[in-house]
Amino acid sequence: MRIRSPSDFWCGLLFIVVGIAFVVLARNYRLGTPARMGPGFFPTILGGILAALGLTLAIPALLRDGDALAFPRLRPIMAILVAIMVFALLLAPLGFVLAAAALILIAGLAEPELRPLENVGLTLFLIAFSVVIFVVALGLPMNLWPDL
Amino acid sequence: MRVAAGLLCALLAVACGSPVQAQSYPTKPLRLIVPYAPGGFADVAARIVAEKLQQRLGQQVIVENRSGGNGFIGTTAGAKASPDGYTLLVAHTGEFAVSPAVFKDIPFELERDFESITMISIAPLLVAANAKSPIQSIPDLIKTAKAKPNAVGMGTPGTASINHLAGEWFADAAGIKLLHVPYKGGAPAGVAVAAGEVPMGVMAISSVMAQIQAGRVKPLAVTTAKRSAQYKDWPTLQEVGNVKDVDASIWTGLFAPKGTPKPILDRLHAEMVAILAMPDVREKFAQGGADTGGMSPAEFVAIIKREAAAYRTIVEKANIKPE
Amino acid sequence: MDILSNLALGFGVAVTLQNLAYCFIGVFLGTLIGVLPGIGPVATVAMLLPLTFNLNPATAMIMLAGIYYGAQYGGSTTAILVNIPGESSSVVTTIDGHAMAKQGRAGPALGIAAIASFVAGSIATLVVALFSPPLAEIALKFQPADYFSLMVFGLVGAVVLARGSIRKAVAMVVLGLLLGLVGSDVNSGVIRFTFGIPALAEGISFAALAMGMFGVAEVIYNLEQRAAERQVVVGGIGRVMPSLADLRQCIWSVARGTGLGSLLGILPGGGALLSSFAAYTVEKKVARAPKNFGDGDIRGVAAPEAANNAGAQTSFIPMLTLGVPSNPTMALMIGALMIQGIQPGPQAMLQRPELFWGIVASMWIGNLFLLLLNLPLVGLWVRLLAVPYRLLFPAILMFCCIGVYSINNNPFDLFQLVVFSALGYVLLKLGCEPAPLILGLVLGPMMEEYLRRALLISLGDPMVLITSPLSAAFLMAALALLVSIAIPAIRTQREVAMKE
Repeated sequence: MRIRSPSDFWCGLLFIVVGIAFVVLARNYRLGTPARMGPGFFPTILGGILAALGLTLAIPALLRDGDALAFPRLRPIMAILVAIMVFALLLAPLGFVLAAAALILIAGLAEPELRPLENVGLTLFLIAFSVVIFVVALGLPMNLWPDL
Repeated sequence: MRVAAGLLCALLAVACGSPVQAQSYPTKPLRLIVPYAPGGFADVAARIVAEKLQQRLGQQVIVENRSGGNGFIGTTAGAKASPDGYTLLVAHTGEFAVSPAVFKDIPFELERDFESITMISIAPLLVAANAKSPIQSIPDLIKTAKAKPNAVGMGTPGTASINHLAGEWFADAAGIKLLHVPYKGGAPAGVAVAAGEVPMGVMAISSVMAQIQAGRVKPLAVTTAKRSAQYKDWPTLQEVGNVKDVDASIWTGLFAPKGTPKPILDRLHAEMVAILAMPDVREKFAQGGADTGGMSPAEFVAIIKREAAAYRTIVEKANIKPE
Repeated sequence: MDILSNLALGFGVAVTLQNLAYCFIGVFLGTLIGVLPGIGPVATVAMLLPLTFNLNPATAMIMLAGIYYGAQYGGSTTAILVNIPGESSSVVTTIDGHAMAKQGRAGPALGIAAIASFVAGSIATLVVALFSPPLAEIALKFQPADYFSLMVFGLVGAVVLARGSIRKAVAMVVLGLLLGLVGSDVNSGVIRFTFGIPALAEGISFAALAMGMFGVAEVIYNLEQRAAERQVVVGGIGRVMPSLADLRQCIWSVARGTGLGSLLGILPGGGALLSSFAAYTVEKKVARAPKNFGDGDIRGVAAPEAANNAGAQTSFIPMLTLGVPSNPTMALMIGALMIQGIQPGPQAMLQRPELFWGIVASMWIGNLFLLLLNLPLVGLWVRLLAVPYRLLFPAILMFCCIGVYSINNNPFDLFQLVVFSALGYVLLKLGCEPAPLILGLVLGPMMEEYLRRALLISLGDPMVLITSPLSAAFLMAALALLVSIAIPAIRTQREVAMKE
């Protein structure tokens, strides 16, 4: 069968999968009765509703034409997500300055237009700005440098 | 600069051992980890103490809120901090007396991971009723609950909170069954009693005082063995409920990571005892119905262990478990 | 007249050189920090809180209130300029506000936001002054069943936010509700869907989700378009101030927003969170030519901003009279009062009238400062949009990271940011809008909590939902709204089917 409305179809499928996942995971919690609901009651009902809504999106998507989906460009996605992850990993062991430098330099890879020199300048400026505002002025408890 | 200072400290510690470090202690700002959001019971205690510590130690004392996970995250962070006296933990009854009784797999343990410094504050909990409800005394409550088991609502700030345990302790001792109605924190629970949503509740004094003064809530009894120093006319559960042993309170305490050098611990303990005796500090805690602590570490640990054992029994008897 | 002497007392307190200065400093700092994309009011207030510890209580509260207004307006500024809401209440502002910015009408959007906030703030301050004690009584009348039905009404309203497919909007609301269930269940104490991660025990970080789905996802989406094709702002900067026609168009929107916001702000159980959503919904339903909503209709900025600010004022009522915080920022304020040794509640009002009335008076003064400070700044903010995106996006990313981290000081929240950025991007690609999801996330846990508590107290009798007049009224209103959404939707669908 041909998918005639990819946007709706994949969206519906996503909701079906998430809905079912919640229903399955909710089996770990007591269901209870409508009058005395347990912790599993709401997630089971809502998960079911989400899956049903997913079906109402996915099935018509096979029958009726709709919006197409462009394949995503991976470079910006990967660069941005990896940048945040690296920042999260480095913040505690290496301190804010180095973690922030990694964040901005890696994020810069998302944008081929960004010239290297510009990127370095931007990095220095943003770090100085953040350190002055958040750490010096506001006393946010963050290590600036590796904690020895 | 700070790298250099840190390096120097580390070198000194390695080269000369801890005594040298203790003599000059503190040489940099201290952090007090509070495992709850700003404004909570433990946070207020930490901030009152932090201000005075800062004056007396001549170093900045930063309160760092590491909230989340029912206090587990901040407490674990406190346990894992380097034991140099620069990172301390302000925890309350929940972490060390209640949680071990309720939860399995707790990532920290009082005596394995911490040096107890002293108790900061201690307050009784209050059994209070809506002013218009037919329940106007503890005997009323017992009579009503005996007539209708599991139907008289008891508001608390949460399942397995110290308030919940104290309520169950009383119910068990009085031979009654109450309908536990948990809320998301002390303030909503206090309002629920004031609005008559539940006829009664077990509250921190600070979260219902306003409603009592407004005449919407009536205090019935405190949960401690002794009457509150601030509110001497409130009876205890033991006096009016014909229940033995019931003695629950909520305290805050100061802890350091295990292995913190003894001289530093002694210094902190001495400072704390002095701070907790100050009239303005006592006045601030009295606002929330609390007394100040200041006992020796050994006495403090003994209290915690005694409470933990008592709560373990209650949890088993009342079958309190987060399913 | 009692009220006049009280207000006189209040202005006596607020209009001292010292308090005026701290009020201004508060508004100024709040705006300055709050306008950094990614730093919302909660983070701003938490960061600036220690500055107030050494002041006397009245001055401290006046400064904090100033910080709060400033931060909230700063959050609306980022919502309009870069599509990043500072907190849940400025989520709705992104819809039409950012659309206006893209059309080069950021100036009027920011201007109307400031003006609507000021008007609403002034009226709501009066409401606080006149009616605080009786309004506190109303708040006590709300029982769990009533709150549940109010939430149901709010959720049905969320669907109206949708610009595109209604089915997708409904699904996003449900997804939000489900995500909101992560963490401790208030009624049983069970910790759900956390996969054993303690940091999730108190639920998903709202900041991480909002910054991820709005801020970072939007950054990725923008970067994906090749620089040449990318036009974050179409058609230059345009005029800076709203025109007279704009203002005339907005009068009733502001009035309705103010009314709704003032009412909902009083409810301690989460009413203030609903105010901006409710105002937008009402506007879209009652306004003439509602088709423009979602494509940069100025009324879609004016109404929620008015509601938002009115709600922010009246949410001081439950805090000052009952000691109950209606949002996370108010919880911080209560903490600040307690550190000052003041127990918020009805007694505080009687024992320390200078404090209560001083705060009321400074609310109005704070709003005035906000207007005076921000109207001239609008031009500056708008010009920020002219900064090339390749230089702007790393800054947005950096501030989002700091903002998310600063709330719990926990690096794990940054991993949440990564997950929700990815999810937000995927959903954006699939044509799903994040605003309904946010409302679901905020209301979900409360809705479950109230329903289960209502049934617990009634010993399992579901009739409480109907026998309580308030609850019954909200349910009826929700039903009516549902029908009014469903009928046009069904009609369009039939038309589509007929064409085929």
